Amino acid sequence: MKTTKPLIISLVVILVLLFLSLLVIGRFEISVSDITAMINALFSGKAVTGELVSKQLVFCWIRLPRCLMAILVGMGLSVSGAVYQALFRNPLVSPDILGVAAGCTFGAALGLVLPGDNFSLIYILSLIFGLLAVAMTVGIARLISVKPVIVLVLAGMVILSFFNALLMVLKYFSDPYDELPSIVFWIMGSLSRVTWNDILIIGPVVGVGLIFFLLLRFRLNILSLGDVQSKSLGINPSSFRLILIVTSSFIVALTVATCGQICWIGLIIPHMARTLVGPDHKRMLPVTALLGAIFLLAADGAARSISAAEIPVGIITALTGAPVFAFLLYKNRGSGWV
Amino acid sequence: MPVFPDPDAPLLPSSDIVFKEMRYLDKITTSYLQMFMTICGMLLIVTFLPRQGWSETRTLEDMAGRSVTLSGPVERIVTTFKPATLSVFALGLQGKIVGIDSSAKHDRLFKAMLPTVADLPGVGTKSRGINFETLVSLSPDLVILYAQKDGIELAQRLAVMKIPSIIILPESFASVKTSLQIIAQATGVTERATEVSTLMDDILQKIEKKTNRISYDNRKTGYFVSPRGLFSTATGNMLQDDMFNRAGIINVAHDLRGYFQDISPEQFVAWNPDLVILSQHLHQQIVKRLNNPALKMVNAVAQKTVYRFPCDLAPWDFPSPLAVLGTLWLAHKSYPELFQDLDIKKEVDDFHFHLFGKTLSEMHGKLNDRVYW
Repeated sequence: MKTTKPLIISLVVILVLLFLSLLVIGRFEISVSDITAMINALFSGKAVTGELVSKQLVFCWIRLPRCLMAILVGMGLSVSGAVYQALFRNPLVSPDILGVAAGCTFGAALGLVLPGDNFSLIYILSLIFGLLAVAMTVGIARLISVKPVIVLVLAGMVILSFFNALLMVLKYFSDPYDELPSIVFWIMGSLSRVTWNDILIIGPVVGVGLIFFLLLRFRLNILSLGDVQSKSLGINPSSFRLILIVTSSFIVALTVATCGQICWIGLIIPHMARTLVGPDHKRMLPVTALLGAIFLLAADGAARSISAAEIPVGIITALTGAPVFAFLLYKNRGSGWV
Repeated sequence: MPVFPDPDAPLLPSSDIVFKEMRYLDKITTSYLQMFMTICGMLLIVTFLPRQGWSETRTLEDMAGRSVTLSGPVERIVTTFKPATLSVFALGLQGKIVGIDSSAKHDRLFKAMLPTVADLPGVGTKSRGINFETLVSLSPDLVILYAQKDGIELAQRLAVMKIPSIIILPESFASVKTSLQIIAQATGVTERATEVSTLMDDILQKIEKKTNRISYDNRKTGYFVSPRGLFSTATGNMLQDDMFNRAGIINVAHDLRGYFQDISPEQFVAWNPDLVILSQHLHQQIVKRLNNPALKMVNAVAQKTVYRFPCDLAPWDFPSPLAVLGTLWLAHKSYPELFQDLDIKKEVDDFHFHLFGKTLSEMHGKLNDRVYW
């Protein structure tokens, strides 16, 4: 059996190097010596002075949380995508298939339109509607309870369309000069809004979620064989599927509530991992998580550093992701994975 | 064949003949007089009536470079976006509006000027799309369209329906004035457009007379926050850049191109503007992002020189004649020592009176530029 350890170690090294190099790249000049001075000051207990004060604030409150968030969101979205693809036995499934992203976006837009100054309202409503979308999808699927996998995907499409329609209604009735621009801005995915509060919420959820998925990786392998095989191997597919869907949807909902919709990560990263290490989730999940983190970290680094105007990260992920996906389709033609 | 005059013929014509002759001459004189009067009347019509915009066939070029021919009076106007509606109101043509951009129906300024504005049919908006059937059903003589999105396509479709339309692109003070002139040419109120342009120029000259004295090195830097969000700003191609420049402020995003551009929070800190000016339309919740400790060291945030465009009646950071008041307020807020003698409330009231026939106070408008975060 092919070992994945060297690959995982290489990916970890790449991720760490990329993370460290992106800490000194950005529109605000912070050099390696500045960071060394900050670390020295931290350990010696002395307060930083002069220009270093502003550099430290930018480093600690803008750049560091943003880079960490890129890693967390990259891992979260890509692993959720891998889990969805395994559960639905469909390589074209991505995290927003159950209407999670649509529900979250509608919640955020509603929070922007509702009166009041409470910023967390946007966050809370986004999360609530994201999870409500999953609950509705699962509810419809359970109500029909025929061919559960296909029905679940179809129910997801119904809910996706429903929340997209609600969002359009909201956009239609919102003030085009006041509310509409902020809704459009929110929908467009970006990591520029990230704060430490977001890290404190998303960090533990993504961390626990990843551990949970890694613990259940053998069951994911069995579930991806289909319900009949799963039952014959002593697994209740319905309950496991529900637990895994809720966990991955929760991760997706949190990321959309914080960063808006970031496309392609959940779809192409699992495929890249599968190409590198095969379909076994034991090996594939850690590779997926690392590749997702590297991909989004690099994309966001480019988005915020290339020019004075920030390039939407979605453009970079789509521009790089689409050709990679097309190449993978070509490379794996006839191999049975599509 | 008689060679000599008839000796029996009377020496003087009979009274019948005289009366007949007189009637004939009178008839001729009356005809000439009538003809003369008709010519004078026609000359009067040719001289004066086209200025009232009703009879002459006229061709003008709109801001998309299209040649538009209008014949007959313009009595039914439809506007499709707010700057067009503001321009029409500034030209005093609000009574001729038969259809309006839907967002303007509940605008406080328009309501104050035209109480029935909410009852006018809404034709849609630039951002959400125009309902073409509603537009055509209003049988307009003139539709004022935008240059972006589907504006040009709509104009082409209207041309097929024989409905004249003009496209305007107000994105600087010069283009705001050009927009007014084009609408005025189409509707026959060119004198009013000149009046409004002069009003605008007067205010701008008043500002620049003072701000031109500030050397480049002593000018404050400013950052405009667009309605999209805190890290979305106006580029060098936009009206807000023109406003900053005339108010003696250097727009930190001047080198960016296009419409509103997103920037990273790091770029905002790197620019370190002295002033942060929020769009009147910015959502209040978004301002709370200024609480980020890294942003607190930005000059404007640290010194609390973060202001919102102040008028609650109509936007001043918008392409319309009112933008000159936005510029006046900007200059006054940025360099109070230079504008000590300026009574901004009076200036605002006077401008509104000359533009709309009512002062801001009479229209129950208030000024408030404070921002809390």
